[in-house]
Amino acid sequence: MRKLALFGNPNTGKSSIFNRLTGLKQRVGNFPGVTVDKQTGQLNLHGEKIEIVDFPGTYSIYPRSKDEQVVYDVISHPGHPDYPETAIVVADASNLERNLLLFTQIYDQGIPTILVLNMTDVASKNGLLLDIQKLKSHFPDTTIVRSNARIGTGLNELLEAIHQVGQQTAGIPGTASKALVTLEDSAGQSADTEERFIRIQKIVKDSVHQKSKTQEQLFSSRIDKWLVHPVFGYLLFFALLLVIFQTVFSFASYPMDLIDSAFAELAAWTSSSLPEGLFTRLLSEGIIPGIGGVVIFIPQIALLFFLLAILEETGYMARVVFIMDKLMRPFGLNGKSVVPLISSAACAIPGVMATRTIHSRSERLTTILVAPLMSCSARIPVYTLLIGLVIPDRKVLGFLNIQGLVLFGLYALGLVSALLVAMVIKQFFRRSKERSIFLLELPAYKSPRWGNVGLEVLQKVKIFVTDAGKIILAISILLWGLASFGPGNDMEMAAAKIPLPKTTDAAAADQYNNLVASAKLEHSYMGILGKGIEPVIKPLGYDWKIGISLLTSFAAREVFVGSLATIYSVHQEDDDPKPLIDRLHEEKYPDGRPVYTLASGVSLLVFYAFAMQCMATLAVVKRETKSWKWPLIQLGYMGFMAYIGAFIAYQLLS
Amino acid sequence: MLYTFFMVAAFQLNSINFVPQVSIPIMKTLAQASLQSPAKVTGISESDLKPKLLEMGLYTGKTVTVLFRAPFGDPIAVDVDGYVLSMRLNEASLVLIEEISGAE
Repeated sequence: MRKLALFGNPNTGKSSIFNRLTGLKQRVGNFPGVTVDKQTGQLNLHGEKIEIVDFPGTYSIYPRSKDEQVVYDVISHPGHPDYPETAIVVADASNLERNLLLFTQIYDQGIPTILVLNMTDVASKNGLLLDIQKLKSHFPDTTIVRSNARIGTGLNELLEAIHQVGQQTAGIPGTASKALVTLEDSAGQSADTEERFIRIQKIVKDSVHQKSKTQEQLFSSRIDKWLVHPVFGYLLFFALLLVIFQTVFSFASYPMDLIDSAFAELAAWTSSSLPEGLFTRLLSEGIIPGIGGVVIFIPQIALLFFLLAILEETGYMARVVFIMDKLMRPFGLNGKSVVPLISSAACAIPGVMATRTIHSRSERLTTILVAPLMSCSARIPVYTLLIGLVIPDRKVLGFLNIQGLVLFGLYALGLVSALLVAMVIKQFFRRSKERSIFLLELPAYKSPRWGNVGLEVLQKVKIFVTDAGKIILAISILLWGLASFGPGNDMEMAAAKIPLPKTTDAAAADQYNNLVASAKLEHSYMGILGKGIEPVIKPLGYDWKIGISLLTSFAAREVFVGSLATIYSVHQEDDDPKPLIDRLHEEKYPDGRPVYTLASGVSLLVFYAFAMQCMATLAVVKRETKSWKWPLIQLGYMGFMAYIGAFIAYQLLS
Repeated sequence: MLYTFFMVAAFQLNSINFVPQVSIPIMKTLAQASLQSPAKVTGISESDLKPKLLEMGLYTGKTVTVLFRAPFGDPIAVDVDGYVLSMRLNEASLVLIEEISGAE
């Protein structure tokens, strides 16, 4: 299969061209040895199958970061597996000079090239006249195509050029007319770049004629007067954050509830219509709920990326970075970190995925590491239960409800700890060698291209389901197995000890079933583990029953409530925590002390504020960082904070 | 919120005091350039950022204009011959400029 590669500066409409060439035939893979995603698409042209790789947008072949280095590595090594037979370089026609830098670097390597002059509408609006013949005379070995991805012109010409290049250059190895400077040679790169611009200036002078003053840019700077304004700029941004949060937090809950009940029904139907046995249980209790646990996140991911893609497409995101940079810098975070962090206050999964837009690797990693500290919606059932259990329902200062105050405090604790941890990471754990480079283009405002937005949403959902979904499914089946099986026939023996109901009414049967479920969980492997960790969690004020619930809620925090209900054989209806709270109030140690006191309750609240009790987040972090190192570090540091925090809370209050 | 307000106020005070009083022809950097007044790039200080600044088109002889600043004065947005580049002050301070006389 013939290999083509797409290169170009950021904001040139490169991904639009990639989308138009390959449509839905795209997949995401890896470049060997680096963490950047490799977008590959397929094009069928006159019966020929062509593979197109979309490289990260760069201003130069010399990288700013490890992630950008992939362009240099591929272009400078003709033996590289991703070395293209033809390079398509997309250039912004309205800013030809800067765009030609990357083009000449690639052209001079002797790779057959196609130069796509994109955004020709902006160029002509800006009063620029491009003389293609003149331009061509400076680059005789290239094919020049004019295109406008926005209104959809130039695609046929580009396809024709791709076809033609294939006919002419098949098998001809390129010869570099000018060797690239090594990555370490900063002075050499400067000299090379300066030399190239002297050459490019002449070419541009020759082939581009300025008719009138730039209008598009005037329009953009007029909008910018308001959008980066010290007051209105922030007001607008906070309003947008509110919309994003509302969408992920509230609107997504409708499809999520539907998915939840659909999978519950499917599981019930499976267990009732298939013959009883291990396989049916695996299917109805392990696999189907596991898949449901993956699918449930799709609405949040789709909605968040729909909004984010619009912000990126319009050019507003660059302004967010611009106005937030100074505020986020002390924390070692990027201006773009704000959106992922706010999204994480609804759910860390789309939040972590949203860090994709942060170009600096260390700032992106820091954002990922602290995002799960933000108080997410899965903590709410846990908080509601525990606050109702141990915090008195009283008012202070006449109007402030203490329960509400504690809940607010927990949210504040999440935000403050996220920022503080980010600061600690910046101070102590960052290699200062990788200097943070800001230099960002503020692209002119544009209306979003809906095709790109749609593809972006589709791709994010696909990545989540295929990459993170596997891990989530595997862990949920493992957790189910641990809670459903026990050594020998311990579970059956324990269940048999429960006296059968004397009457045949439904309430008695329910109670019997609840008692059996409780006895079984106690004697399962999970129950044994829960008892096993009792000495470790005793200093936090927890008994083995809480221990079991801590372990099962590694699946997701809200499972804590359901697990407690199972252990105490409390029937829960419509998520009403009241019966469970009443039951927990009665729970006593053998010596008569209550288990759930202010001290143990607050200790649990602190534990859940910090602990990484979410396998789905870990799976997503593994996907986004492409290694198990970071999710494990995250699990470790958050667990450590949770343990120490809960320990201090318990010891102070008891 | 209070913090924001304080910073905005401080920045505005700061910008009032920042108006240069005398015009002695000294070497200026892009970080010190006044808003909306075109200047010519005269060079880039030696730094590991030098090639990156050059790549963005900031080579000797280029005309640049500071268009606006972020709310706290940093970063700044610079017109680089037809496109808008945003940069932090520490990056801008590496770009040596000469203000084009007769612009005011």
